Amino acid sequence: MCGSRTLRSSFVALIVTALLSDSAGAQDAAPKPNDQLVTNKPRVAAIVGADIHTVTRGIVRNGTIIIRDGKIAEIGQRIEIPADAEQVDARGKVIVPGFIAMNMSGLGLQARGADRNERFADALNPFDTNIKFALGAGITSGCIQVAGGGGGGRRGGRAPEARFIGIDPDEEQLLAQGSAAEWDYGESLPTCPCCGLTYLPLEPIDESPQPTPQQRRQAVIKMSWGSLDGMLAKENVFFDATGGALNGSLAQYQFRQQVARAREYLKALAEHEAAVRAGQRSQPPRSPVTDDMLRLVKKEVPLRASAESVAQIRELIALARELDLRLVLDRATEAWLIADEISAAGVPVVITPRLQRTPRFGEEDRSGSFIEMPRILEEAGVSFAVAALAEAISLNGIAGRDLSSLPLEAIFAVRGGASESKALEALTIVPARLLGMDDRLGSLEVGKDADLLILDGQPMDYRAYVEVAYVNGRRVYDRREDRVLPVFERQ
Amino acid sequence: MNRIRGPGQRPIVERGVMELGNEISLRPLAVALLIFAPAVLLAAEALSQDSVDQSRDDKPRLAIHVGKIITCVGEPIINGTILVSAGKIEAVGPTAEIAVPAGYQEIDHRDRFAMPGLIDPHCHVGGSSDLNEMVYQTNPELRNWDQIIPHNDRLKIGIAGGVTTVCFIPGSGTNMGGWGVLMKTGPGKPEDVIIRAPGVLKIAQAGNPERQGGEVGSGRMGMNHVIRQQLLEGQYYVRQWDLYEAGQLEHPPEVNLRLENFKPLFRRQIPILVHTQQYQVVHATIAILHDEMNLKIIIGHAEFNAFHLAPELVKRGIPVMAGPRGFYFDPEIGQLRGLVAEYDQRGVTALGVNTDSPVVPQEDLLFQAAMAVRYGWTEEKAIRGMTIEAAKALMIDDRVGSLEPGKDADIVIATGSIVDLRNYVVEVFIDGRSVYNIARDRRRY
Repeated sequence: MCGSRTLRSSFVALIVTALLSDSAGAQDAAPKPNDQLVTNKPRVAAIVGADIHTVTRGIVRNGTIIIRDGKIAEIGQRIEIPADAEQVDARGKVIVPGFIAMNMSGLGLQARGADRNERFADALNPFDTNIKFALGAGITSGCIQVAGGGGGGRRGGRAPEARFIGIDPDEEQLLAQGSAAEWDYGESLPTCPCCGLTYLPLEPIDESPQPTPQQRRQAVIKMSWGSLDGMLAKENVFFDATGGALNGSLAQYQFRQQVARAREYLKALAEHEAAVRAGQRSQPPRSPVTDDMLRLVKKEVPLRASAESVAQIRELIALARELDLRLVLDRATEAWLIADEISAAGVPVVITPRLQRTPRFGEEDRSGSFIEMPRILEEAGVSFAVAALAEAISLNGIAGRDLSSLPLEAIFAVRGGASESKALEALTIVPARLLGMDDRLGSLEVGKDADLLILDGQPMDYRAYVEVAYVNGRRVYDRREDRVLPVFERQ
Repeated sequence: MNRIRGPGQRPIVERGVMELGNEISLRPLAVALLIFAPAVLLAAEALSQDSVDQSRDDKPRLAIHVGKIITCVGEPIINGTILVSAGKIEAVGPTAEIAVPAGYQEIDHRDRFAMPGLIDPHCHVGGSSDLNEMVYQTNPELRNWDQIIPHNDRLKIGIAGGVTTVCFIPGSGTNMGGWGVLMKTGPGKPEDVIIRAPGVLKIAQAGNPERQGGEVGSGRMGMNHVIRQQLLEGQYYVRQWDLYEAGQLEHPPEVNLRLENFKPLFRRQIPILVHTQQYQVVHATIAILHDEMNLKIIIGHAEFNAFHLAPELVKRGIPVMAGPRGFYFDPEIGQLRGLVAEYDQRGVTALGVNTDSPVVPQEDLLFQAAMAVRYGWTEEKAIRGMTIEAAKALMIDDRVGSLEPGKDADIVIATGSIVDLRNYVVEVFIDGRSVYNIARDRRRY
């Protein structure tokens, strides 16, 4: 057992070497994507023959996509292929927009992640091997979350990263692996008395106020393997109130106070600026709140808050209406019970179809999770994105429970009665809208970023693999070359 | 007090012979329920929420018409009919060839699939969750069928995932956790739901049972020693009884309640469900439990790099029930390997998956299979793995695991192949009774 630790580190070295030499091998072949990047020559690719699920403009059968300089230049059936284009044969395949994760942590950043003093731009690590696993699952971009400022600490300190299990894992190592996937339940997870693995919470929703969780910083990053160029797509995405931060009247009272102070400050600032413009002497006011709060009241970013129960959902909708804020509801487990109210309020939700919550005693039909929530939301016209059960890539071996299970959540939305097109939207255009990036991401349209996947099957088929992934027009993942997921011929 | 006691040092507990034997005595169970009032409440709740209409015939006679029947013996039947009576399957075949006798209730599932009820070979949610007694390293005196809670909430959701039979076992906190039970997930009294008790012996060879109190068993040498010592004691006991019963001993051996359940084990009537994973540990499982002790074993978990031992398992016909981990990140190649697919590719056919519920929720047995298929197994083998292969491994294929005349009428009706996660279960029959029906019950999974 003792030997396993040294073995492990040498394995890590091995893997890194293997991956690096893999990409080096790829560069020896004809196309040299990284070289082309360096020379900044226009890069043109034509992907030919696939059924293209554009998400916003239907399906183009046997179509062609032209990628030029990282953007989609053309899509259609009768498209002339430019002479300088690298032609990619995708006959019989399916093309979809890259999937967008609403929650990610522990990938694409240096091992310690960006802490509150560090800029995202300084913490990016485009060679993080977790990026390859994310791409293998179809994730081409997502909202990365790191511990921000302030106290709390319920989520503090943990910097999940994929660790590698040696051939001889001990219990401690396995437990560490289990927690590596960074759950975001605002509670500690039970572990199995048999094997020490964590299992998912099933208990009724706890509505009691939680200790205020640490506010997290969020940014949209792209899985632009091997390149910093365009990796950081957006900062200041939300005002974070996830993890139950706005549960309870005290938390809401304090939040109202903050909003009021922010508005007073903005008013004073405007008066100051007017005075300066008028040539008067004026002292600039000092901001009593964080910049995040200012962005929120200026409606530059939405309030993102978790609200599991009906009562919490109603409270937050009322609060956002009262304070005139844009709202995104996270982990809206009981949204199925008041889908019409949510629809009328025009609030989008983030759901995890596989998440289970036991109903409260005596309220079996009026509380808890329900497998048919996706159908109910779709019928009520509520816009929903799906999120995976955990935010990070985990290699601990439990299949389908970490970030890479994101597409499975969409498949479970179909299991729960949503249409396949709505389920695909929940992975693409809806999260793009929630992140305020639907001008660039989430669908295949001319002018948008060339973030797309070539699949070997239908997007809602659990057996389908990502064969090739493009991010910013670059081929960043190839199942057969990268070999991070099993490679075999389907019988 | 010395916490370590070699098996030979333990006092022999004598109790009334009435309680001995493999048959299930309900009296101690009733007493246990009275003592443990919360358990009574839970059980009562479970029974009161019973979705079965009690006014109906307890063992109805049914003719279930189905679009496609996956029998798990032979080719699927398109447009078939299943006749059910007295809780058993009476006939299965193409609808055109099955004459429905008078008095049979006809059930129309013509646009759906039927398959045998799923079997989870590794379950911890069949009863109360006190799975480990941590005083001794080996606990052949422990049995868990007095702790079962039939049709509890987790089993109910399990049914919605098609699971009709579970192997409910003690945990792996000690090297020999005790005797587990094979039970149905549906409602009923303990004697209705138990298929076999003892169902299996639980042995754990590494990892969790490691001791850190300074006694033997902090490492694998010590753990394998206590397992061997305990089994040899049991083997000797059973041999004495065998000799006596064959008339070769004049006097009966002294009854030892702690060793009684070794009788069906050493007579090869029940298997050991072994918590074993990684190459070296599985190697020790094969060498000690199979080769040396000549016992029927199931490789449970079977995770990490143990698949390299597949040829040895094939040679001996040892079944593998893999999980809850579904993949292994192989540091030698920097790639994920699908665990079940690796065994499959190496010729293991006695192959299935488990949930280790609650680690993976009970209803996710089909999800485990789907993930195995995603990583390289085939759907057809996955369906066999969750049914007939699990039944064979657990030695209950005379009762469950396929849709054949004479077997228990445990039937899952789904909107399509259950391994495709878009499909879902619409009705489940256990022993010929409809225990879940989305038209009647709220859909649970």
